[in-house]
Amino acid sequence: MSHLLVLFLSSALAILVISSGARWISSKRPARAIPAGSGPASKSSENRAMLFAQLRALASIAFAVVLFLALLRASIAFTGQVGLPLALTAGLSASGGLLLYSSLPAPMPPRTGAANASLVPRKPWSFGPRRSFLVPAAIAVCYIGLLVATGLTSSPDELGRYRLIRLAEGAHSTSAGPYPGWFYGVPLMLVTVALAGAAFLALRRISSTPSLPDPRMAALDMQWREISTRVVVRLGTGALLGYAGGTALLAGQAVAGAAANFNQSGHGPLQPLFAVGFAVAVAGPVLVAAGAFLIFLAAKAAFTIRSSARHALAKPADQAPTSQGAGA
Amino acid sequence: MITLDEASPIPPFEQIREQIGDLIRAGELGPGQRLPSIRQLAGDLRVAAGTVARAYSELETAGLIQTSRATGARVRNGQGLAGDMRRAAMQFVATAHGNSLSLEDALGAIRSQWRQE
Repeated sequence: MSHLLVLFLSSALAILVISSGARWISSKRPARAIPAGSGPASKSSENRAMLFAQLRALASIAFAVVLFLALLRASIAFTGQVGLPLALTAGLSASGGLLLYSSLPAPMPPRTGAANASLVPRKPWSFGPRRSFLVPAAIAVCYIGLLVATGLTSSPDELGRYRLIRLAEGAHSTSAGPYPGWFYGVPLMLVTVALAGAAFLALRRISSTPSLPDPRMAALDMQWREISTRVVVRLGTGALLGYAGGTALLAGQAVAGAAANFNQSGHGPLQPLFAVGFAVAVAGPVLVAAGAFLIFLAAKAAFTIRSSARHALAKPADQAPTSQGAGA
Repeated sequence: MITLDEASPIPPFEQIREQIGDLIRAGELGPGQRLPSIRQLAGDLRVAAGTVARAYSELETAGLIQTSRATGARVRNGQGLAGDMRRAAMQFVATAHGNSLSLEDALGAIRSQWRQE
């Protein structure tokens, strides 16, 4: 386990070094002024303004992928932990990417002679519809509820680790695993909390980044914040769905396996436990696929922030997505 | 939207205080409306947080806003100008624009008239 701890500390150090380096570079490099004028902002100045938003998202996704590969390699090498490091890999990688996103500094503001500011407060939840934040929160609560339920119904193995489900009636008993009991559940709950905290910090970074200096880019400023919020929310929701699906698959398989083995009277699997386990096991891959799809959409959106923001602005007003966000 | 002119001889905190105060009196910032956090406004205007904090503090002293740690800064009730004052101001500004007066010239005309009353 100490190797895994070293890897976590190395990841935290990498985040610190990358964000400090970016902060140092942005403080040393003279900012290029974007002159304000009366006409529409030029494409090049808009591109320049959008570049940082895209780079920050891409750097965070690249870091999450690198961290995932490093943790995966390390967790495969572990023996005796019965898959626990492997189970934590995806959540820790996504949390690391989001933490890097929240720790990268905002670009140095250019000096234009005049600065403009909206008087509308910006909050972490200002740049997306309410349901886009409620859905992942509900998934997180349901997931923790599932982990508590599986924890309460789990039994210890021969080493005292709560990772089995045991069915018993009189002298007859059977057990199956791996089952997401407390042995897996407690670390998974901690990863869920870490993921939620990292996502909140990333959303706070999006809202607290100073607005674009040119007042003609107010709509563009709103667009990058909305798209970035979508990326963060989809990434977090996708990771949560992936975890919920993986946990459901394991739990369902174990319950169905135990019910199938609990064939005391020779009348086939114990019902309705077998049917419930089978249904939960089938729901698992569906949730995992939905999570993977959301993560794919998040990565795609992160790669196209610049073009998407410009495209959204080019749409006629009646086709543009309605926004509940605050103006910047 | 407020604008900070870096070349202006008026100190930044005074520019912020004046513009927000004007927006409150003109009714564009309504009673109870939340103002951005000190950090947000300082970031957008590229000034130190203390500059915005001083502007907010003076607005609070003038009774235009109220601040608290929990809810941030909010516009106080009953600080907007009466409707007839706003209409008169709009009419005056339209006349000043019609005569191609600058803001300073228009304010000078008001100051002059004010002293005569």
